[in-house]
Amino acid sequence: MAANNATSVEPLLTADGTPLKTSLQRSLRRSKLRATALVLPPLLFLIGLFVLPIGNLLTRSTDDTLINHQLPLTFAMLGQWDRQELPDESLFEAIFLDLTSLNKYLIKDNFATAVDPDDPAWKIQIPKKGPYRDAMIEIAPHWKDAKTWLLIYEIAITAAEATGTEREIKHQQKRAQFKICSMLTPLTNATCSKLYKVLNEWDGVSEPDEALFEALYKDLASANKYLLGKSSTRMNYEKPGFKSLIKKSGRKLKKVNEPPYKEAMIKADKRWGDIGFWHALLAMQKPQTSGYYLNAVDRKWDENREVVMQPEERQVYVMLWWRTFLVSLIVTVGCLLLAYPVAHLLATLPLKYSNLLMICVLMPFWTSLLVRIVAWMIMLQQEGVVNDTLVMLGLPDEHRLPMMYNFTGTIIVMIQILLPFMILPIYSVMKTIPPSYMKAAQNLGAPPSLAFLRVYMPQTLPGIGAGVILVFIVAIGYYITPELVGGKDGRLIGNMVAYHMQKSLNWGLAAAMGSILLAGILILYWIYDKIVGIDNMKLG
Amino acid sequence: MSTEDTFVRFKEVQKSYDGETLVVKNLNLDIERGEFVTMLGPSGSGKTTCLMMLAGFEPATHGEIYLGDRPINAVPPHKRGIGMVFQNYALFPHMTVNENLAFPLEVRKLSKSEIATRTKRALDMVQLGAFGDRRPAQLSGGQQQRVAVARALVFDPDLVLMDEPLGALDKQLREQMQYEIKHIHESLGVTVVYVTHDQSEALTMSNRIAVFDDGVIQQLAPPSDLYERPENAFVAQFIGENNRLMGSVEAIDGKECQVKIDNGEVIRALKVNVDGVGQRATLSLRPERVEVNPEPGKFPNVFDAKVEELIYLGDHIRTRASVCGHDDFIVKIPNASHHASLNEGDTVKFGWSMEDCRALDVSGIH
Amino acid sequence: MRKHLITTTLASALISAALVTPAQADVTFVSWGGAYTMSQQKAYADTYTGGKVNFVNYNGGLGEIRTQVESGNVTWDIVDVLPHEARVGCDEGLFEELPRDVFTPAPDGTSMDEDVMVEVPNDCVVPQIFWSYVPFYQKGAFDGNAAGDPKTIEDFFDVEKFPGKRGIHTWGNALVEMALMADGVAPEDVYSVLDTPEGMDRAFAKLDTIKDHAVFWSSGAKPLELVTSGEVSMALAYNGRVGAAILAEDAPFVINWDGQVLEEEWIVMIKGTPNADEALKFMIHASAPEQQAGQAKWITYAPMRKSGIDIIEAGEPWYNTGVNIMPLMPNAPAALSHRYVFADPSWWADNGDSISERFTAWSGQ
Ligand SMILES: Nc1ncnc2c1ncn2[C@@H]1O[C@H](COP(=O)(O)OP(=O)(O)OP(=O)(O)O)[C@@H](O)[C@H]1O
Ligand SMILES: [Mg+2]
Repeated sequence: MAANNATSVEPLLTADGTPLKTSLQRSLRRSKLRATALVLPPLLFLIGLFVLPIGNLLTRSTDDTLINHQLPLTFAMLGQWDRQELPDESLFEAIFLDLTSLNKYLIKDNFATAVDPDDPAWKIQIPKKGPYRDAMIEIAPHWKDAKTWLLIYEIAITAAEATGTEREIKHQQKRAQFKICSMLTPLTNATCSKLYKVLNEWDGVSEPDEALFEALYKDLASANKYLLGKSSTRMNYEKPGFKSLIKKSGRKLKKVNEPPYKEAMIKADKRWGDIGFWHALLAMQKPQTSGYYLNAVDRKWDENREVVMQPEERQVYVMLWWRTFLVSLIVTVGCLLLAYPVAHLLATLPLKYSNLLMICVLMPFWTSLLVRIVAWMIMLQQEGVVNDTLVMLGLPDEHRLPMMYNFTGTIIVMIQILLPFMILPIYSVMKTIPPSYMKAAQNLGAPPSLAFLRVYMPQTLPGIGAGVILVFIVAIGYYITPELVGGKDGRLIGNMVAYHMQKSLNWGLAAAMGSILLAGILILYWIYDKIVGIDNMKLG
Repeated sequence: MSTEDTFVRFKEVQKSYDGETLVVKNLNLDIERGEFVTMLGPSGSGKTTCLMMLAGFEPATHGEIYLGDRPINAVPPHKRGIGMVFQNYALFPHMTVNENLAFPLEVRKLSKSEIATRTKRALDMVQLGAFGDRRPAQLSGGQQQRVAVARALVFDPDLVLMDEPLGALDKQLREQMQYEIKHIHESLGVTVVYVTHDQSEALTMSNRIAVFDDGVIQQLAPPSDLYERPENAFVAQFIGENNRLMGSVEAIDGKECQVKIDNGEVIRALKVNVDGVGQRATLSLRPERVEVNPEPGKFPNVFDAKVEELIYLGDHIRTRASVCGHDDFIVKIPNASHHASLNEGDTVKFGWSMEDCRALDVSGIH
Repeated sequence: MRKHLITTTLASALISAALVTPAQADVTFVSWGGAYTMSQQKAYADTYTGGKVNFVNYNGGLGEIRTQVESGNVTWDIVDVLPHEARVGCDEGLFEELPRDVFTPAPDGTSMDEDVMVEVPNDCVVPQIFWSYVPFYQKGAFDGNAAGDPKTIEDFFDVEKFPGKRGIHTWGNALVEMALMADGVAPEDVYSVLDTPEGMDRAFAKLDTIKDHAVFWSSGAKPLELVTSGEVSMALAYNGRVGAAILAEDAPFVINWDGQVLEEEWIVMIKGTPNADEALKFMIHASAPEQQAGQAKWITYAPMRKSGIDIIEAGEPWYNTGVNIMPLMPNAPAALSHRYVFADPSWWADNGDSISERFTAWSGQ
């Protein structure tokens, strides 16, 4: 006992005299490091492939920073407006300055709540024809200091020293021009070519001269044009017409030099006198917005910041969500009903037949999607093979069944395309169920039907679960096939996501819909976990 | 065998899966009520097939199977009321032990309370009373096996079939389970048809053993008879260890015959399965029936033997020697205190009696 | 601003690390594929001696372009875009603004921008073609019909007098304009009427009259199949598809030019492409009157440049098979003698999304 105590007080030493603890820690650390090194590549892969895109999706779906960069002063003053009547001169002045002046890029606190509307710098005018230096320094004194310029200077001279083929050099220089602009503005697609040129003529230490400021002014001016283009697109989501309002009045406002701005703006375009456009601004006031999510379910903020329905003729998303859900559900159930017996056959037939059947099941995977869709069209359209056969069998010619370019067509074709996704997991589970269970059940007194229901089917549940989830998830995101074969009923939520990604460029709304889809799938997953248990799912 | 007590009867049963080869050839087998009959035989000899025909999962190609007095060829499996323990137990993995046991009772529409009491009784019988709520996957192999037995018995069948139920267990557990099954059989008085290819298992458990080979019952007899008095070379070879000497019959004298084996020596043996002089024969001799350096005149058969190898096995010493031109002649020498020890390379005399040396056919030997 | 700097530096560092710059300065031309791309290949690329041009297909929209520009990984050089995209892309700075005086003037000295038959919206675009949405039917489809063959846009919307189903596309463009024209609105008033809520309701009310008879299509080849198979008696289609079927396959189609809605098609240069110089050279070549006219040898879409049309008119029969092309040109004098509307891209820029939603809601009920 005493000896035991003694050893536990004395630190244990290893053979070479280092304390055991230290050496254990060291060896653990080494193996930890090795483990981390092993895990790192797949981890990075995972982050790159899933975490980042999903993070990006979620940020995009609430992101309204761009418009806040465009209208900092307006949004700072919007809170004081009573929202009942057309705003007064001060708000008109704010939006006029936001739309036309470059001061917002120069003033330090130029974003969201940090904006100080009383800062006199907002109202300082930079002469359009120059000289620029003095006015710009008055707005933002730190630009007088050479240090402020150093960061973009570095970019410019590094790119100018780039080596490689002529093409690579050109590419580097182009990138540098983009990069300089992205430092000065919230845009990644503006080119600061003038600054690039002038910075390369500068030595990096002497006090910034008029040439630098002129380049800064001109590059900012052209970037501002693009920012305006983008924000007008954004504003148009809230109220159709904003886009042309900004564009048209923008040209005319260039000529306005002094207050009162309210009059001048309404004269430039009478829509500035429409309170609806001002109400629309309220919805964009925060750099983070839930507006896209509301939009995705046919709702919006009204002028009192209450959630209201969209006007009736624009209510489409809820209907599309339901339709998408319904289509996916029917397709899933249909696939299940068809796949189950096929999978059973596959699992129980002798090898030479089941191989053949397996080839038939997999055949669709080897055929181009379009070919299959066209084949279905030929089969199912009103003048198609199926209807022709029916007419031959006595169906009156005028009662040909509409099976294509409608809901039925969507369902039939989607089921056919997704069937293998249901068959394979169910088959792979069935394959592992030895026939002895059915025999045992019958031996214990259960007639074959009961044995199937109580013994066989419950054991195939993991496969059913996997198949159902797989098919449902794939179906819910489908859009090209339904569009081709579904006619007007073929428009699903996926089409709208694609539309907003590619055509309307409303990525925020697309991201919001994507996030809702993702959330829906996760909820589904969760329900599945509650009912069946996720560890009870077998994909093969 | 009195037909009155016959409970299961195979009558001229044949079975072919492919229409070309017979897996079971003309099987005739009567099993009495309460009997424990084991089907023993090498892999592929048709044991499972017979069991499956009995349980109703495979139709007999020809012949009739009777249960009691009733021909059951046309009765579907779930109406035969036969309990069965499958080779891999076939416990339903998605049900608990209790649910597994309740299953045959539920399909028979017994009342809830009845089901509960019967389930409990069956579990207690196999000493698993505390495991009712576990899933099969949470049980050890031996426990699963006991649940399978309990499930096969819980609905009080008159006949229970067991297809190599202990195949997956280690030796110790297997022996313990053999004992338990035997015990249950005796206490319940149910008829058991048991399949195994482990001969010691067959010997310890059965009332009678049917030795199968190639779709034919080679011998049907109680264990001791099988061992002591194999009726053909296959059974002799298959059951227990056995020295084989090949030769041809020289003379027959009542129940005794003289066989000249291939190196010229003549051995006197019991005539069992040979018919005429000049016929080829296999002599079968159990290793423990050979005596080393016997008193002169005690045995009619005494031959020189050269000790080739000694293997110490605790209770006995297994000795390999060259005798009559065979260098794989095995003798078991009990490790008794008075026994003289041999050394490799010694030349000694081996002797055995005429009755212990059985003259059998050669056909059953593969 | 600070946060901004850090993220962009990081992002651009990552991007430039991942960049692979192709060595050979081939010009990549992105277009819609099929016969259309083929006509560009023949008319522009095959006649071009300044370098190699690679054609790539896309499905329209600015999504991919925006991604390329914003990530700095620009692999496309020239893209063939619709009027809406031509404006939005230029406004948002996704396209290069091009010098205007480098382009080939008309033979009479008119500058390219003056030579284009519509107003050039910005400095990013270079003229391509006009195409249009037109109603058409198969010869004989209305044989024995009391009212004879359909002739006007009113007839397209009149399923009583001209029985049978109507093939229409699954989006709203051109449909609202046609509906108003069919409802008696003069072509020049179409957009001012549409600008009022009542006008919009009026267009959709007119669409309601054919809704139950509509078969919707979403890919350009579909309306031709629908009409050929008899599934519909009349359909709207891209004029070039119908023209190609008539010219190449002798399809017995009849186009009703009345009520057509013409759309512009421009080519633009992606901002930040390292091939800017080569691309500009090719664009100058492609927009010259000769090449503009040359394209019509291969497809029945019309050059945007007046001087291009003149060349074709003087050169008839112009089509490569030796037949006259002018009767199939949407902006030929004969076609323009009927009612027509040039789709107003700035109106669509304002209202495209809400029409899209409203149209989806309408067709989904
Ligand atoms: N379903 C079947 N179809 C075709 N042949 C079969 C089938 N089942 C068994 N056989 C064949 O019948 C013969 C007897 O098989 P059986 O399963 O009865 O052997 P067994 O004695 O039980 O063997 P084991 O000890 O290996 O279990 C074997 O040759 C086997 O290949
Ligand atoms: Mg077997």
